[in-house]
Amino acid sequence: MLWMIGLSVLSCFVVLFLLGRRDERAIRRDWELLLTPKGESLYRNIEGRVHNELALVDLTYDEAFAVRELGSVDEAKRLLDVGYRVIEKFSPNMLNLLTAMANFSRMVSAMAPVTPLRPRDFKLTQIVSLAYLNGLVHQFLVSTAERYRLKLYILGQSFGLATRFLLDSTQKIARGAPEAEREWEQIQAIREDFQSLTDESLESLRVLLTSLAAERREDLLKGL
Amino acid sequence: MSETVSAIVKGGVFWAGQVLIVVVLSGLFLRRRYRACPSFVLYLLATLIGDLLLILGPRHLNPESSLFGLLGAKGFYSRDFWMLKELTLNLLKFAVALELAFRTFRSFPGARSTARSVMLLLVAVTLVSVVTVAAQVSAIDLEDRVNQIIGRLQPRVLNGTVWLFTGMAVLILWYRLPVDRFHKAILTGFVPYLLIFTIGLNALDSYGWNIRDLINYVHTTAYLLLLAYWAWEAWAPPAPPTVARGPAPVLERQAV
Repeated sequence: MLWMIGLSVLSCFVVLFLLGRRDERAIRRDWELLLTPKGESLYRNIEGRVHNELALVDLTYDEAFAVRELGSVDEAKRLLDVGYRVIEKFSPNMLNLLTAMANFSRMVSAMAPVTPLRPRDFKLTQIVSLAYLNGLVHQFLVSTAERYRLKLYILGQSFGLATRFLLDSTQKIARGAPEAEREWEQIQAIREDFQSLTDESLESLRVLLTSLAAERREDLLKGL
Repeated sequence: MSETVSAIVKGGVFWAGQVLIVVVLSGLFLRRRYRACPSFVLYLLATLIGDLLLILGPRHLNPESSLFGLLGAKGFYSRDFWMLKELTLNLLKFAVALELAFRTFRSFPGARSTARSVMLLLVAVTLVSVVTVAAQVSAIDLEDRVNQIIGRLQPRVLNGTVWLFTGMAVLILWYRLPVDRFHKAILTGFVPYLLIFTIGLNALDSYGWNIRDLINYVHTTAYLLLLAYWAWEAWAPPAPPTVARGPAPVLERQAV
C-alpha cells in the first residue's frame, strides 16, 4: 500500500502542477482556431509565408546555377552560401510548425484520412528510405491521429536530413572538392525534396485546420 | 483547562467547516455554478447534513423510534451512522469524478473513447483492491472492525477516487481539452486533499491510533483550506470573454 501511495503522491502532484500552470485562455483560443474561419485565414497566412521563403530560396539557387553556367564560379559559390543561409532559417521554422501541428493533432480526433509520404516524390536516398518507413509503420497504426503524428515526425526528420546534406554539399563546393559536379546535382535534388516536403507539410496543416466537420464545430463551439 | 480549550477549538473548527460549506453552496447558487456539476452540490449537501446530524442529532434513541433499527441505541452518534455517512460520501466523490469526466469529454469523441477505457480500468482496479482487502477485515469486536475499515478499506476507496481524478487530468492535458473553471477547481482541490486523507488513514493503520490527534490536525487543516479554495472559486466573478494575453498561441506564432 505504501508504494501505491508514494506513486499516487508523486504522479498526482506532477499532473496537478502541469494542469495548474496551463493557460486556459490560450487553449480556448487554439480551439477557436480549429472551429472558426480563423483557422482557414491562419492557414493562408502560413502558406503565404512559407511560399515567400521558398521563392527566395529558389531565386537564389536559380541565380547560382545560372551564374555557374556563365562560368563565374566564385559568384556561384557566394550565391550558394546565401541560399544555404536562407534554408538555415527556413528549416527550423518548418520544424517549429511541425511541432505545433503535432500538439494540435491531439485535439482533432476525427481527422480526414492521412496518406503516408510517397517515396517516388523524393530524390535523396535517405529521404526515400524514410518515406518507405512511413508507409510501412503507417500500416501498423490504428488511429488517424497516430498516423498523422508519424507523418509529421518523418517530415521533421526529412527536413533535418535535407538541411544537413545541403550544408555538406555547399561546403564541398566552397572548398573546391573533386566531383563538384555531383554536388551541384545533389543540391538540385535537395531543392526538389525541400519543395515536396514543404508541400506535404502544408497539406498536413490544411488537413489539421479543416478536419472538423461543420456540424461538430457548432457543437464544440457551444461547449466552449 | 486545556481540555476546555481543546473542546472550544474543535467546536470552532467544526463550525468553521460548516460555515464554509454554506458559503460554497451559496456562491454556487448565486453565481449559477450549481449547473456545472450537480453531483458536487449533492456531495456538499450530504457532507453538511451528515456533519450536522452527527453533532445535533439525537444521541440516544428509544427502541420504539423508527431509526433505532438502522442506527442503534446511540442514534446519530453511532459507528453505524458514521459508516453510512462515509459510504455515502465516498459514493458521491466517485459520482463527482464520473460526472466531471462525462462533462469534460462528451463533446470530444476521440478523447471520450480513451477516457471511457481509462475510467473503466481505474474503477475495476479500485474494485479489485477493495474486494481483496475486504477479506482482511475480519475482527470480531465491532470497534476493531470499524478501525480496520477506516485503516484499510477507506484508503483504497479514496486512492481509487484520486486516480480517477488524476487520470482525467492526464487526458485533459494530453488532448488539450478546454475545462470549465469550476471543474478545474474541484479537480485540483480534491486530489491533494484526498491524498492527505489517504496518507493519514494509512498512517493510522500502520502506526496505531496514538497519532490520531496529529492526523486529525493535518486533515482538518487540509479540509478547511480545501473548502476556503472552493468558496473562493464558487464566488469568483464569471470569466470575461476569451482573449489570450501574452504571446500568441503556438500555431499562430508560425504565421508571423
